[in-house]
Amino acid sequence: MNHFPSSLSQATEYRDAIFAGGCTDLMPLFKNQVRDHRNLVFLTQIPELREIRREGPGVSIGASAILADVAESELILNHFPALAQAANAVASPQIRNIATMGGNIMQDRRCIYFNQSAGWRSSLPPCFKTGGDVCHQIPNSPVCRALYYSDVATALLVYDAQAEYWEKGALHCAPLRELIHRHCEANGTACRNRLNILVTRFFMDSPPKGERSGFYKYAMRTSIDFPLINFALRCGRSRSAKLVSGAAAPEPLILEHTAALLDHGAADDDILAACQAELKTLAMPIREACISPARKRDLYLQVFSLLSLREDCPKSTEL
Amino acid sequence: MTITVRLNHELRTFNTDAQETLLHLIREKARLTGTKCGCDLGECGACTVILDGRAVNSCCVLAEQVNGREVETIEGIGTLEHPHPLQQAFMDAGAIQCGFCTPGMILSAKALLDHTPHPSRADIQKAMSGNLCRCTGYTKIIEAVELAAERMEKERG
Amino acid sequence: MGKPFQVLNHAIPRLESMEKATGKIAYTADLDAHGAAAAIVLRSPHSCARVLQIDCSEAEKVPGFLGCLLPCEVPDILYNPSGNPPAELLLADARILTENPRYIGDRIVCVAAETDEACRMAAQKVKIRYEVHAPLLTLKDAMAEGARPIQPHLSASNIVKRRNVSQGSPDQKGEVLLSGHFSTPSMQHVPIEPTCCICDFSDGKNLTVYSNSQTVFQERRIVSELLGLKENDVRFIKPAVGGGFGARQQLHSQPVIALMSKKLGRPVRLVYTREEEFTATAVRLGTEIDIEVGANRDGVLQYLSAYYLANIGPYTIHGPTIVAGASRKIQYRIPNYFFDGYSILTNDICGGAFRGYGNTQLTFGREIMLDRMAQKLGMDPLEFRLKNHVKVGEHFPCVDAPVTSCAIEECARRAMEIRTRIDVEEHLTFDEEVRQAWGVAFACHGSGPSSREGLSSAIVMLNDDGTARILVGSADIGQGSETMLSQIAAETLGLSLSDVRIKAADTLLTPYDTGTFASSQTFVCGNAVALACRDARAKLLKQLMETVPEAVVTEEDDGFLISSGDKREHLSVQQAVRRVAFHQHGGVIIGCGSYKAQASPSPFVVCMAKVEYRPKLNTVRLLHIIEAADVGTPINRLSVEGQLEGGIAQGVGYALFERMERNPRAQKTVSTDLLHYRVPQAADMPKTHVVIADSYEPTGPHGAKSVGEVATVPVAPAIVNAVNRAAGTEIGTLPLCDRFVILPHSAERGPLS
Repeated sequence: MNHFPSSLSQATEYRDAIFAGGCTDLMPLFKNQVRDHRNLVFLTQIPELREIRREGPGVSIGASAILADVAESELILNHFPALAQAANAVASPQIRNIATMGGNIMQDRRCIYFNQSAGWRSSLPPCFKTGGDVCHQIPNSPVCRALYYSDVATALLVYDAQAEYWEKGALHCAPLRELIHRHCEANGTACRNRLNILVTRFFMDSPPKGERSGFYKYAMRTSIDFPLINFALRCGRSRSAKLVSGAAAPEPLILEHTAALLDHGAADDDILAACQAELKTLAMPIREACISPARKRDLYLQVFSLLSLREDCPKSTEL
Repeated sequence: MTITVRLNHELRTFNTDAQETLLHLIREKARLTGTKCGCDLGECGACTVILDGRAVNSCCVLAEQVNGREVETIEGIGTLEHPHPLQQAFMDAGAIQCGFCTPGMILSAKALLDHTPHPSRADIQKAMSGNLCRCTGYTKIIEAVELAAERMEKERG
Repeated sequence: MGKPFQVLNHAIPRLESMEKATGKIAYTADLDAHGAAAAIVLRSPHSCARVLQIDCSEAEKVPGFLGCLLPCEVPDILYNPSGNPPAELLLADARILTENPRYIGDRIVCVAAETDEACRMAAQKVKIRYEVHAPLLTLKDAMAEGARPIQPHLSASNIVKRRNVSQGSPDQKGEVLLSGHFSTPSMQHVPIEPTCCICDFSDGKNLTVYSNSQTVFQERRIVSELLGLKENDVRFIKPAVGGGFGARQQLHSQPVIALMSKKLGRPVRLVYTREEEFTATAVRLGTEIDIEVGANRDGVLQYLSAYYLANIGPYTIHGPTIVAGASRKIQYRIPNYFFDGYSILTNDICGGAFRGYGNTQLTFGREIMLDRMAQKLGMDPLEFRLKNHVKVGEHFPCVDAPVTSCAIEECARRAMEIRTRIDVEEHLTFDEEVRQAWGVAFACHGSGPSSREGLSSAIVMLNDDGTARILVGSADIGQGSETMLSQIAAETLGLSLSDVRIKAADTLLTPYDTGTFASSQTFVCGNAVALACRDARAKLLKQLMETVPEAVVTEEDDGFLISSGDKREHLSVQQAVRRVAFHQHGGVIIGCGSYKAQASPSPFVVCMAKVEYRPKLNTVRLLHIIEAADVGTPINRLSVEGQLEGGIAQGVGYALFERMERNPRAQKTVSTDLLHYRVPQAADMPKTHVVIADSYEPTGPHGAKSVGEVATVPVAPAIVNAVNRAAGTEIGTLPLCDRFVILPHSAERGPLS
């Protein structure tokens, strides 16, 4: 059964539901039989979950807001450019036109052994994600090592976003980073332990005046591909710089050392070296299609694309 | 479940089940076979249709998701006798080879031109980047969209 | 170059364009198949295994289930599914269904049900138990001492065929000798239309097959033999086809679907999933090639040797023919030439025909070696190639037939003009941060099979209103042959294009054709159509004369002149046909032509690529690709440009990131969909520039040669030569994403805007 509740209270009444936005992440999983298509509850007809609006000192974005709308929203473009850029970099135009913010954040982690048809997978024992007890990527790993490829998450985290969600009969609000951490952990054993959470909204405080921020995605092709790496960076006068990187580990990575160097006005080459070193420590690379581990490490330098954001930033001597 | 869809400007009612895709409904129930299935995974764009003014991959949309909404397929935008300017431009520019990606390409282009009547070349490349073509190398497809935009501008006067 | 053309050498949109643009045209899966059952073929998930047990009992309980077809129910006959005409290099080793899968595409069981959904459910419930064996996936494994032979009835080792071609002396290598190793991956065609077929063998006597086929007559022949039928009882029809590129130059699952139809007594339809398209159709052969090139210090080539190892997968199909095809496409004057090619069986994805047919791989290594040699000799790479290029009247190494047309110098000049203009407009930057460079490569191919086994025929029927209908066996798979052949017919008959209709590739209604492969349609089938039209004109003239026995009839370009005393009457072709048709001594005009290829003239392409390398970030970005081509007379300029542009795009994918990726843990490929396997998109393509040289091939129809395959052959080496110059490397391995971070063409510096 598919359900299309028109209010949040209706939506929360379904037992054992799988909540869906545009369903673009789930559909291939259904077709590959890694997820059962049952009790799907669409959140797209709940008006308040589709809104993008000012709220308090910042904005509220409903979980059912469409990525194409986020990418084109004046409010987001003006105040949260990294998010607009990230929403605009997801998958293909056709997918951005129906995929939602909530769906993107709660997307399944991916891996070349998991995102395959049932027939293809039948020659290997089931992995952690499909109810087994092995990770084909790193056979001695005690947990699933699939990567989390969300572009939107990387951008939201650079703005310290909070998530509002419904869980166990109550509405909660927590840092998005915590929600993603819980989602990614549970998603590593998705067939056994599914996180029964209905994400409703994301909040971000408006960045201080003069702060600059941006998002960069590296994929081999312009469209459709998941990122091979992505970065979001904010830097400016009144709060410390922040650098987040996605598609390098089972959840997004906050690159604190590199951000500190940015705050201290280090030269480009030093920042690149620091970013590469920090990612070498934190990243948990796996085997991906068309990219070798050595090339993946080269991608750590692609943060270069965001360094021009610093041009207006003050040098360390001024601090 | 019974759903109502405004399909190619006509209100239609279909019986569907929870797992039926919009692509399946269009091809098998409405018997509109201009919408093609190239991968069934949302990766090639051959099944592109316009849903409430926006291009989507019909293979990754459930039929029930479009209940009460408006869907446009290649059959709805022009005919052999009265083609849409994009259809004419794809022909004139030589943008059609095997033709299997063509309906999806044209619908992606139409969604773009309806929204952005004067697209730059980069806008066009981006709007068409969810549609794979293996024959043309895309050159003449991009030219066709430019040609159609030009002609539509002239028509508008 | 003769008189100006009326219909040829123009840019004409495909005749069926609007039917395609409006979605009206029917591809196989669009046909209303009158109660056809849905079928799925279950394939082995293991690269090498033995089936122990097949249990369909649970599948039988699925509502709508119609039947299963097991290996024991089909004829136990070995065959070769290649769409080539019978030849010594075609070995029989494939089965309709097998209990000994040798790769993951092998068919084990066929399941049929009332609907696609029921069929999927039933297929999931079929249980197959396997005994799994360690597969031989790489050339190294397959060629190892004592490696298990994959087709023991053909060969005791996995080296199933050797091709040796040579001329001159191995001791005369010239003053400078260079050697290099080259490695190319297997590549998938990725036609956007999935493989499919509808078979109706309900009565067990007459079989009708609708399928995406490049070679309907060969497929009819093989299926007739397999099922014990006469060719008259089998009809292959090719509806609109969504791309081929060689993938449909062989039977796919038509035999098993035909047998399922017989079993159920109703038509059956099979549509491949995209995963099957990747794993169970065919791929361009992966190769390992060692090349030695020798030249004198004055820049004159003396020697070339190639040691060519091809991974053909577990079935021979096209393999040995492809290796043979690679051996005779050297467009340089090289007195001492040695080709030693091997077809190696593995448990990897099955190899098959793919645009370039073996030539792509050897040209890749050869053109990189020529660049290295030019650099070593301190010569310009373009000048070096031109200096050694064959001229009209000369021969390719180890080829008897002389070159009959060649406009390579014009191609080089015109490509260079564009290159110069680009560099004037955009500069050629070469500093510490950004290093841009150009690379060049040449290519040739054939027009029709180089074995000269191409055979086409055509029938032209003139209607009483003077319009014409042509019947040909050759298949338009999206490349535009129906339009091109109609143009040749109109030009030859003296009619306008709108007066010509064509019917093609239906074995019941059209005459024999070898098939759509080897870039043969323009040259081989085009010659057949021209012959048929000349035959019709001659018959028309003869019959016209019979209607006016006392007058003199002379033929003119656009009709006939009848002179009787001082009375002169001009008749257009239409008027003449009408007069003949309804005259008391008249008749029906039917022209026919059959053309056995006596030659396979080579088209030539000069390709140039401009790339940008950034040392600090190890990134490579493609900026421009130029192709200048000598295709003889371009029958349809729009189609020729389209072939060049499309060929460039496939070459770009081959160079940058396309590869069927083998996974050591899974012991098979992970390239099963369009995310794991990347095909270039619109915004990934560099700016492309194509030029058609003025040329005329004396043996071609109205001076035409081929274009299809040659278009893609030089692209990858041109790109790699450019990258090697920009990055100072000596790369000979594809794809480049192994060595560099590939930036999409549209990639901008800084945050996305």
